[in-house]
Amino acid sequence: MFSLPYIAQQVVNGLTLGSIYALVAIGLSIVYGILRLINFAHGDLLMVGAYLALALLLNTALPLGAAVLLPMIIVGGVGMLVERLAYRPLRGAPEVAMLITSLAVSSVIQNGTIMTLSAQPRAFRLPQELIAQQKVGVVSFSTLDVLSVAMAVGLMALLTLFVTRTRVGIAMRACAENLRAARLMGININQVIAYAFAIGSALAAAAGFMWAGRFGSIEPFMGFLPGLKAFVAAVIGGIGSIPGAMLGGYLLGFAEIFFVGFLPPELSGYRDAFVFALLLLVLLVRPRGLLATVAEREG
Amino acid sequence: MLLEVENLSVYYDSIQALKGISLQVDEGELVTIVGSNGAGKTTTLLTISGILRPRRGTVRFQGQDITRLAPHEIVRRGISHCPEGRQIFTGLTVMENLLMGAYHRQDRDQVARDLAWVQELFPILAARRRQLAGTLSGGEQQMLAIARALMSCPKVLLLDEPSLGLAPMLVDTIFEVIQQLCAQGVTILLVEQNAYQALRVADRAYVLETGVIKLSGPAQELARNEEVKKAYLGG
Repeated sequence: MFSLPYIAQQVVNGLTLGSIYALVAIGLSIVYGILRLINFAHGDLLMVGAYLALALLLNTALPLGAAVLLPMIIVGGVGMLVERLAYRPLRGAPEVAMLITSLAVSSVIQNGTIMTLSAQPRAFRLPQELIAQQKVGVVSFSTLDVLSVAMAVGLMALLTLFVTRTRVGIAMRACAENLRAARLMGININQVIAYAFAIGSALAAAAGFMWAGRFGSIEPFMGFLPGLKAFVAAVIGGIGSIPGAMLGGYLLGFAEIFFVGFLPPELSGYRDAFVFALLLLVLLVRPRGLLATVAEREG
Repeated sequence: MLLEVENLSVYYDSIQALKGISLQVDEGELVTIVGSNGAGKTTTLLTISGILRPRRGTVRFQGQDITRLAPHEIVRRGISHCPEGRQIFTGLTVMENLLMGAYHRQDRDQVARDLAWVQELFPILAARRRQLAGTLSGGEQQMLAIARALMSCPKVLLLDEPSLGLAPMLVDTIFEVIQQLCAQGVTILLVEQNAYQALRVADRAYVLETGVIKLSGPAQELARNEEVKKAYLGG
């Protein structure tokens, strides 16, 4: 059977991967909550964040923190810009129009990256002391893992404070629950939506750094997989709910690691199949996800 | 004239919901629009608030054309809309709901005073201020909806079916509150299916029928009108 240290190691791995999924899922979820838009371009902003981080890392004069924070700020701005240019003109249009637009945005970002930077994967090398595995007790992990989890938890704590303690944050929850009532209360929904995109995109950029650091290389299509997984995570948790996105992210991270870690090796190639089976299972039991708050919206 | 609606025509796709209606609300008045389900009462209020766009006609507030303004700008000018079916934010606490009503306001001191005022008006909200709004009873939710609308410090309050779905005793309470607000100088445009109660408390009334204003005049007079009695007051 599996030894305790082995299980502990899998928990650590699940926590690290789950942190990334959670950060990406939050952005998908808050945007969906307000606009009912499944933003297919969300993963591509993760990719943009990773490229920006690489550019800053190559400039060795800058401290490492800058390679994490600056991309978050810039990508947050890019997210707002995308919303302003691509989604705002479609306000009031059928949801499917926005969905298709987000596919177009995704394609524009990916191909724009290929045209300017080429489709070649690039090495994403972090300083050795960050990625070296160190053994603490029975489990081993890198400093990057610790930083990723700590940063994810910190960012989620900040976000929680934002949506419970600030005027705009509370308005964001109000908009997600009832957009029309929010408008009647005098809430400028365009402003709230811009904030939602900025926050979600910044979190995706942070996740992009972690993802790139984990796999050591980046390429223009790297956003697709984490974007898709995060969508699954958001749906499992109850799309539209921020705590749901966090829970779903960690659940998915653990599930994926556990499938690979505890199933016979010959089945580990099916990890994604298991992930989607889990999604189906959750949806069969709780069709709106685990922490569903989003009700069907009329009109 | 505080609020003036002129020749308003509103369509849902090709269906005409309002066929050129005009109405006025003067400062300090309690005006009611009565009419049956589907007459266009809610459509009228939603158009005044900027949620729906009219194909023809204008809405003027304090002499200025507000027909094309965004809803949040209309709230900022002083029109507050307490929507049909309450539509409180069930996942937010009572206090958060009230703060959302005051979303656009910068005058913190006055907001604090208004918070105290609405909690005095509805003591039950003070007792439940940390509770999620979804846990309130129907009557309490209606009180929260009115209180939330008042938090924007409105010059005119649009009330859409505040008595809908409430037990008779609570209906009386709600209408008492409406009268109380009116006595405190709040201008109110009230939409009601409960014509009996609405005509009892209002100064003036409009009778809306399938998108057309059929009758208008002092509420007392309309309450005695034979047609109105037959159609809306049960004979």
